[in-house]
Amino acid sequence: MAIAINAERRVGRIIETASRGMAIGGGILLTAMAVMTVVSIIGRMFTGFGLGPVRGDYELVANGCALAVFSFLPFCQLKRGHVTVDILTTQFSQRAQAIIGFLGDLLIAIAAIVIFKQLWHGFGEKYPYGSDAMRDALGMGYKPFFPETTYELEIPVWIPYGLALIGAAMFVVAALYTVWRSLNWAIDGQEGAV
Amino acid sequence: MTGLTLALTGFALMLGGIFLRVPIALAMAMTGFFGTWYVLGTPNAPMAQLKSMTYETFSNQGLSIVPLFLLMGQFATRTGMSSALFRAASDWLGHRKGGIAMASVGACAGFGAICGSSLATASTMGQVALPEMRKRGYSDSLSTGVLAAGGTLGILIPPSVILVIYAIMAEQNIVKMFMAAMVPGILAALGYILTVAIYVRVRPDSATTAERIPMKERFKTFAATWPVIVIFGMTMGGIVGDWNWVKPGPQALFTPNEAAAFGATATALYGILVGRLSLDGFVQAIYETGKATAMIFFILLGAEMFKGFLALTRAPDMLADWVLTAQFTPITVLIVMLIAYLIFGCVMDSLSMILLTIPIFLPVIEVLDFGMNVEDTAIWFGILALIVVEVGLITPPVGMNLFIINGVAQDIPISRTYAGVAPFVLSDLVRVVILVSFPAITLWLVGVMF
Amino acid sequence: QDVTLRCQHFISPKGSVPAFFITPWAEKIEKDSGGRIKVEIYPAMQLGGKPPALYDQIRDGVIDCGWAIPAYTPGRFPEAEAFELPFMTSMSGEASSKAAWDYTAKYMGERFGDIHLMAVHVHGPGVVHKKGPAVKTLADFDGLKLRGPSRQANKLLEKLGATPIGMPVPAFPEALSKGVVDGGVIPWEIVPPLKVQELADSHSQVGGDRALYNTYFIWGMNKDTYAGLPDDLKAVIDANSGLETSGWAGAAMDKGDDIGEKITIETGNEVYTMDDAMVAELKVIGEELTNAWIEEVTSKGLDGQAMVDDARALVAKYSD
Ligand code: NA
Ligand code: NA
Repeated sequence: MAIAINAERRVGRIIETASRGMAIGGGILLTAMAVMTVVSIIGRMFTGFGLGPVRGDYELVANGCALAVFSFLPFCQLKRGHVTVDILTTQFSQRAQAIIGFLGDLLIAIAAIVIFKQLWHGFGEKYPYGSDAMRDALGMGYKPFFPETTYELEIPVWIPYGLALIGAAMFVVAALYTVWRSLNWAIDGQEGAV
Repeated sequence: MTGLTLALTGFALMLGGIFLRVPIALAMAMTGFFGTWYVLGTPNAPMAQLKSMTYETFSNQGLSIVPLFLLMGQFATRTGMSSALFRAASDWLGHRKGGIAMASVGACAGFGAICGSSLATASTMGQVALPEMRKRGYSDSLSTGVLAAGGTLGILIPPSVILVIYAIMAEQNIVKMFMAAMVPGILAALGYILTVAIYVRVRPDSATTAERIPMKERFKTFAATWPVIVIFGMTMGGIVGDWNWVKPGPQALFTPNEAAAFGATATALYGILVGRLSLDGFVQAIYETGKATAMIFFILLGAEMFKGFLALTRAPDMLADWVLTAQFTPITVLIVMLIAYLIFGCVMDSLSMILLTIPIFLPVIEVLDFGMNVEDTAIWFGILALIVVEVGLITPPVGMNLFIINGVAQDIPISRTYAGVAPFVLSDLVRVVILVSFPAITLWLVGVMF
Repeated sequence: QDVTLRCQHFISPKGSVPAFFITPWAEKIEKDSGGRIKVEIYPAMQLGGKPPALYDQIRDGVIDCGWAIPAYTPGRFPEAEAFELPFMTSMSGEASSKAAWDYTAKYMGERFGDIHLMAVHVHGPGVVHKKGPAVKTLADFDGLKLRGPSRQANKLLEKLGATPIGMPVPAFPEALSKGVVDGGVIPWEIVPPLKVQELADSHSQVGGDRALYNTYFIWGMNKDTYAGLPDDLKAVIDANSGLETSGWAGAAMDKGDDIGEKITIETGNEVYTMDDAMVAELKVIGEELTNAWIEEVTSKGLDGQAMVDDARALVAKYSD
């Protein structure tokens, strides 16, 4: 009775591959941030010998951390990694649990859409280019006079915001897929393994 | 509606949602969102905040330490450090009655020194130590109970993810928090070892005795734990130690944030050099770190939205005023809070509890007079709160560490784990009473180091 | 009461500006309006968000009013940086803040056009706090690892031969106590809250009549909130906005500086004032940075030279 079960599984495999790829990208970024910090520590230890800390190390780690978190969100949702309390619901029937799981995924999907949409507006307000007509059409909101940048490296902030949008978009896609998946579980009357 | 009623209503609805399996992060975010909407009469404010709040929460400079400590723990898990620790501990303690269980505690404590998470410590040590104990005829209850309890040392002994988050929320110095956790963490390990000793005396058939290992062999296996000692020494020692005796005053190597980055890099480097961190291990480490990181930051985002609503209701201020005017003794208030943590800990996870309660509890604690300054009070309370929320990890019915250990040995009924962990919960409670009675135990090392 | 204003800022209520400006300002508004305006103050970002978001929170009506630092969003308000240049402001936060108000009225009307600006201000002179002996000559800066406060100040430190270490303010005391940095540059008022007087051994301030660097702050209100007030309440807000109110906010910083300096001197630490020769050398470097800044903002289509000249004239008008 499930809705397009074969299509769901096929889409699920594609989304899983994409989410895993994105998570690995985030992990590599995180590892790179760790290595960069170590280089910075060593440089700072030898300031007397013409070396120095990596310029903007703190802001690189902070922004790298944000991008890593965005890239981990889809995989976490796909694996149902968000903390829930099921002490009460395990008393319910299998089908009731599956329906509750479906509602939970639905709420996450709505949250993902809201997060993406507002992050897009946030991006628009950091992005100082584009004609008013185009910006209005895309809902980019208030246009800044000058681009906000990071402190030390003076990287325009719209760039990391733009990169974060990729993770947020994939989060929406993955969350919508989990809604489909859990709807099928609800129809089957039993939750599957993630 | 008064602010207090509003806050209570919001809290009740949120808990209702949580018990209906709404992800905790979402329950907090929704309560914050709709609560703010209710107070201000429009959803514009929370919507406008979300334009930057997601990115700003994820890019918080203080919090970037969290995924790095998680990564470090994951790398440590995959490089065989856990087996070396267990080997050494069991060579030294195994010949005693229940010695392998004691050794598991010791190994958990050692692993906790390089891993910031209880769950990772429980699952890593569970995989190493549980098969050994079962092979040697330890009872199901003792072997799973001691490992579930030992896992909490992952958080009680610094570095500790929850302490980092507490320090940021309470605006306390992370290094001081780590120092404050050190002695209570060691006491926890000693308490668990003592509990094992009593356990096997009461139930002699629950454990066996292994043969005595010659001293030469013992030193050899102890020496094999050098990577753990070096990495812990350099990460924690790098924050507090003096690395340049020529220059006057302490010369630390790095800040806590940098220590996490250093620890992750050093652990990975060791794993690669000894050929134990394969590409597949690296990828698995990233998946696990990624899942935990996304989960934690999603909760942090929910907590940020919830925090705004809570402040708008002014309930925390009112509660603090009420506690003051009602003239409860400070210790009564503290005990009520700790008991609340224990009760909630039966069903909720530790991070969510800290994030939900600290904005409410800490202002109250800070206005009460415990006979020490506000900073010391906040540090001491943080350690007490950390311990009681960690007890929640091993109290039935919902105790994440119990589930993790049970997952390693799926043939053991969970009821035996519940029974086995009970004496260790008791030992936790005894420790809490001691630390409440003598704040100096917690604050001593902070005083020495600063 | 008819109106509740919810105001947010990013530090503890005990900070100089919250204690000596924001709270008394709120009390004055309540009094002047006969209790019809109630001001709720939310310190330490209790209503959520991070400090760089404060300006947008005011604009978007997340809060009714707030205290924000344009430098937290570097590049977005380049005109404000004129008051952060080396040796621009005087030793009086009050006088320099009045100058900043006039300057803002002239150059930043459009830039702050999406909020209702009530006051702008700066802090007192920045001071070099460090472990070990005080900085007395330019050569003493060589190789020092110093936490810098802002983009402009970091550029100055770098030119002086120090290594600016970027880190958030809360991390500074920790890094200083453990020797990760040798020192940092902050005004006196924030020394006691961070306990820097206990961690540092010496404190060097520039002599003369101009401050080493500064930071520009705004105290603003949401436009719609202001527009929605009845005329008599608008008049209450207007009476507590503008030149004098800006001076008041600056004076709050001066008051905090006096307290911070006094507490520091009581600890017995070395407090050194750099001599004229050293200040003259510093000013040469400051001039180079000012010229570089003029060039930079001119390339953005602003009249950098006129801005610097006007800012200097205004500071002189109120200070000298
Ligand atoms: Na730990
Ligand atoms: Na529990």
